[in-house]
Amino acid sequence: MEIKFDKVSFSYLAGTPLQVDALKEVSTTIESNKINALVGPSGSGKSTMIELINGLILPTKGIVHVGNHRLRNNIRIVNSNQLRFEIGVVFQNPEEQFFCNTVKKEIEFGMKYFGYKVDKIEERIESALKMVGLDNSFLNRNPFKLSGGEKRRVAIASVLAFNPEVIILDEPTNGLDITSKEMLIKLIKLLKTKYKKTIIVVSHDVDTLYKFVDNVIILSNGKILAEGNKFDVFSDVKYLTDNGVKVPRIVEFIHKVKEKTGKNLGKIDDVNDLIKEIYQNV
Amino acid sequence: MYNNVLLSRYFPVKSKMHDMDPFAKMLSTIIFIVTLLITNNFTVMFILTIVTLIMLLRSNVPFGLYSKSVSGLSPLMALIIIITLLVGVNYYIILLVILKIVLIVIYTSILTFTSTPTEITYGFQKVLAPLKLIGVPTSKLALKMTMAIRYIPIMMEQAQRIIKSQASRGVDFANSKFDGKVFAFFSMIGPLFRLSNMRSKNLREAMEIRMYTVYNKRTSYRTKFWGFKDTFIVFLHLLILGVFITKEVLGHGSLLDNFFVRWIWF
Repeated sequence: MEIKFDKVSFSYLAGTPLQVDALKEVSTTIESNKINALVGPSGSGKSTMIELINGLILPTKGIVHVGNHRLRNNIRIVNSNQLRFEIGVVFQNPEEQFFCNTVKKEIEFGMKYFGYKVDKIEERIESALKMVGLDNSFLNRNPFKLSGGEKRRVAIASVLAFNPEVIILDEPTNGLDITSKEMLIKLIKLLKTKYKKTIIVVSHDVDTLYKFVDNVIILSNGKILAEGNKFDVFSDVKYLTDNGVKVPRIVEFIHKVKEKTGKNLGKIDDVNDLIKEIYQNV
Repeated sequence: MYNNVLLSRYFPVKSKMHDMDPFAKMLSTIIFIVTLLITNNFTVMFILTIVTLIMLLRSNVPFGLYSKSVSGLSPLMALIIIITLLVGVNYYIILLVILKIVLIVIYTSILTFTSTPTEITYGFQKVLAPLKLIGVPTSKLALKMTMAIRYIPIMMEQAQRIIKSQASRGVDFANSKFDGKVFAFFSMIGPLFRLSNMRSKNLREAMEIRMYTVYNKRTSYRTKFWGFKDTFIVFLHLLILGVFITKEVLGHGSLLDNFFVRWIWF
């Protein structure tokens, strides 16, 4: 499914003296069946972009194309549930949205609004739980009494249950321990390779992101600073650091090695590969 | 859709109204509201409108913000008009009630746009000070009020976040029919109560750690002091109230009143 921003601007409290411009004439295309990352400091417009994609807010100017949907200012979305069905969003701290007293009810919450039948719902819940690495024993447990990582996984399962084409994760690794983080990264990779989903990840944590994303969009003050393949985007370290963007440590290291010794270690995104490369070069 | 909330917002500019002592502002507001509520007199209403307009212009806050806070109450006003028309109340009374609502909203907006929550609490504490004599814990009340005011934007933000995340799971408040709206409302209220409970517990602990409890005596840090303009404004409000009461009690001044009513209505 193609997601395209066509000169999109968005302002909070538009038309009042307290107006804040969150996005300024942003044009970009998000590639299908890839893991795309939205990176930038707080207030750069990342969350606004995902809310625009999901039709939770409408652009002040410009058009957002999401598959067959056209989202523009002051025009009510024709079939909002269809749009939400195609785009699944897992918000920051998704455990805050928990409402029901069992994991099963929590996952099936809202599914009937997407037109699922009862027997199909059961099937979907079980497969969603399996995808996030939880077994059926969790179905009758209280979601409020789970650990942080488990809560996050249940929240992701509640989105995966209705099988959206595009999955958006807002700060997914925030507040998780290392094991849960790795588990989540594995899941995201699996969603792309096995289930052919388009994934958009929003995060501050460039070091973790760099390991598993394909494309990167860097936002700064509501504008796109750089976009494209992650290796190309992070190749110009000086330009990014001059603009206040934090570069992944691995990129920084490769850049410094190149500066001091003239040796190019190549396109590496994993520490283990980097160690191998260094051994071979030494 | 979800982001048109404008409530208890301080508008940071420099103006005569911003420079006023919060106690004077609070005192004037109370006198103003009392006068407005007890009067049905057109002359007094006219004078109060002029006072409000002058204060509005002196506040340097854009007019758009005031009109926004008044237009937010338009459903309530429409309801009042419908009910009063159905009951068959005099047009003059309807106009009076609507004018009273608009004036109260604008006047309290002036107060909230030009004073920070801490200033409002300080003013509130000062206004309640005489009650200390009969054993009312005024500083405790003021602290509770600060916390309550501080909580409004937090709750609003939290509610919006929950509404958005539930909408992304298919339970959409804005785009669904009545039954969907009811369900969406309850799916927002549940988590909101749980989260606010959790937050208030955290806030209480954080305050207690820093010895900031209701039982301790506190001093207040002030950057604005009582000046001539404060005395003038409070005196003006008292004068309006005083003249009105004297007129009502002694029965004088009807000549002036009749003149105004005739002049404007006929």
